[in-house]
Amino acid sequence: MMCARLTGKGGQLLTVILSSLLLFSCVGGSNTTPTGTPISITLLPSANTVSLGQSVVISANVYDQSNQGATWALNPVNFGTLSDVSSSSVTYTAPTDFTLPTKITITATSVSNPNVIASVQISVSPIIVGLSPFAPQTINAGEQIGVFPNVQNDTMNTGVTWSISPASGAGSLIDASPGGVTYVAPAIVTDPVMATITASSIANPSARSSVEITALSSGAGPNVAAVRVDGGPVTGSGRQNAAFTSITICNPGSTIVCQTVDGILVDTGSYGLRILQSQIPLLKLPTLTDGSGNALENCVFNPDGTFLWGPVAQADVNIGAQIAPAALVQIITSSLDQPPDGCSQGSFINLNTPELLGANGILGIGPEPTDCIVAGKNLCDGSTQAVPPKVYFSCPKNGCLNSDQAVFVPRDKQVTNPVTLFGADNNGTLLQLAPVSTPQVKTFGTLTFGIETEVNNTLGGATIYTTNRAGEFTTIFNQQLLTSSFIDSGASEYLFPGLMPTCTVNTNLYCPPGLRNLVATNKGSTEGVGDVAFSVDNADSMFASYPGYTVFSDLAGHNGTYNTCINGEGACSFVWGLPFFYGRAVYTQIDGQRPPFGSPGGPWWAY
Amino acid sequence: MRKKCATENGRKYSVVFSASALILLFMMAQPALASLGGDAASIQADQARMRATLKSTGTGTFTVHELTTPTGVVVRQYVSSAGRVFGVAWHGPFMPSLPELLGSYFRKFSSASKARRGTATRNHFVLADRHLVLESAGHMLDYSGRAYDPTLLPEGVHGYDVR
Repeated sequence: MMCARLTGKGGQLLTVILSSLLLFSCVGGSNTTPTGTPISITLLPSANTVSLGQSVVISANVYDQSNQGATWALNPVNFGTLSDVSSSSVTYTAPTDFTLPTKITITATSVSNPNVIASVQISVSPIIVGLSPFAPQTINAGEQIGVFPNVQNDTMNTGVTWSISPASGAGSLIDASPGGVTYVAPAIVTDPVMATITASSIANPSARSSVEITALSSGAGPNVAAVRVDGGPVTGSGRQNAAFTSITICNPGSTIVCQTVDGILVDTGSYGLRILQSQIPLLKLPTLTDGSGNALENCVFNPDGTFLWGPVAQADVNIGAQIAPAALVQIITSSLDQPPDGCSQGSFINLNTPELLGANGILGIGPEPTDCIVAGKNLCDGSTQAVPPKVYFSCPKNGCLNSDQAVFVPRDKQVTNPVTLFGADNNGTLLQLAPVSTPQVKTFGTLTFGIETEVNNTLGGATIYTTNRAGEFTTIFNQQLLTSSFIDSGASEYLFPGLMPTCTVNTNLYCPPGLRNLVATNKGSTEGVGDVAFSVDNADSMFASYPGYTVFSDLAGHNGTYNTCINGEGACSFVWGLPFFYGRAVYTQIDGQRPPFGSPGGPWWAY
Repeated sequence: MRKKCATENGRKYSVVFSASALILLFMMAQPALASLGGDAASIQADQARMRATLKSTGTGTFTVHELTTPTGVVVRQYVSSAGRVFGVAWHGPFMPSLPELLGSYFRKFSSASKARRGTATRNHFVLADRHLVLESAGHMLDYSGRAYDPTLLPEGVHGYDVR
């Protein structure tokens, strides 16, 4: 083929002339050819693209003195069929049961001289089914929501059929037609129920698309995501006291090339979405590079010596009906290559599997806008210091060297809290979980976007606790003034400097002899004072008594040594972990986003 | 070589020291850093290498050298009157270099970290054995921790003095 001279006309006519003379001169072979005018083949397909089940006729104009015509071949061999085969034409019919766009090649070979060949490439398009809405939604008991298909390449216009799973107990479908369907939530909902609505192409049932709709007893809406505390995505190794949601990630600008990923940890203690590469195999997200093609990599180093490592990429992040377009996210790489020592600190583990991470991703929705900004200062862009922190690295295209150094990165290249990118309902979040008193297998809640922007996110009677601008307030507990306290849904426990005995098995946790009922006082920097009652029970005995349970309201652990917080240094932090959210609506106002009218400047918390 | 010498300012470091000096450093069993269990002789060098500001305060039984790095991480080294670092503590928006701070104790932390269950909370770590008490905690943009060797505490000094 390297000697073929190709000419095209209007994109429809593809002529391949391959004279034996050219072949001889090019290949340098010794084949003999008939004397006189060289043999040539010109192929003329009736179309260059077909959809499933469609046919295209390819005519061959063979210039051949002996008039023997051509034989035909198809590659890939079994992708569709050739029929009506003659020496001068063939009919190609696309298959009906494929879902990926494919290019096929039809080759004509001269009978007189098998060295003379011509080929034509034809794009075969599958039926693609999209849905609106396509990201996981919530809906209140008894309410309805329309679901509409967006079907591409359905040339016969056969449309879709609808199904719901589970078939009973999770609401029903009415008014199903090729143009759409209406989902009706159950009239009464106690625990949230999730239904998966699927549209399947009639022409090709393997072309289908689904949307998850969760029916809640109340509080649902387009700005609400369902949350589960159920151990997360790792069967047999559930994570305790961790709130998970589902999000849909799309190639930027696409509503079709998308993947819905469940098991996303909802974390008010970090900023930005971080997702396992292994969970989005169908997406090709554009990664950030500099002018020389070096990849921008992101590093999060955890207090326990583990880290998250991977490139910064652009993705449309859909949660409920909210969309963060072209959000910068961290893709936690599946690669086993060691990151630079500046991130890995030499020997530690990238949490790049669901088993290691205990989640499929982390949705960081705390009170800061990026993973570098605190108290209004950008610590990674060079504006505040001479040395870049070990958060962003620039790595050569073919991989990092372990000596690669951290680099400064401007704000518009930093991993960003996706809430700040929503078109509306973008000034904060409201995370609430059902009340819990005894250990449970699982429980539920909601993540609502915006504060005082909709009827479902009003502050009501919640008290605002202002912070030191770094999102921290003061907790007074057991005669200690803990001045760097924080609300962290990504922490599974209450963490504080205390005097309780350490567990024998779970050595990070407290094991009092029996249930302890305690009270602490939270105090905002300029406003907000209130007592919080909480309980701590023996972690070792709870875990032993309730194997497989994932909801423990009375879990607490060490956070430094008792009474060592002096002038802001030492053990100065009471971490209000996930148990704080049981039976409570907790608002996080994000720094730099407009707080509700009449409320103090952010960031702040309210509950 | 890098593993011992990586710092927030590795580039500057390699400019200041010649390659042969680095190799020599690598060959020494203990890097000349004021890490836990090490000696205090190099605190000035640490300061230069980290481009940190240094504040030293003495109590009679020990001296606290407080280094503040340009990225806002505060590292305190607790040095006995004999010149030995018996404790380190840190606080700031980023985690410090633990291999550098923990020195020969780093391996204990490393293996304890690896032994943790996959689903454990990652923002909180406690380790206590005869030669190393370590607490490390925090969330994004606010980390703190401390480590000391109970057997190195000067007389009359308690673990809680390292903070």
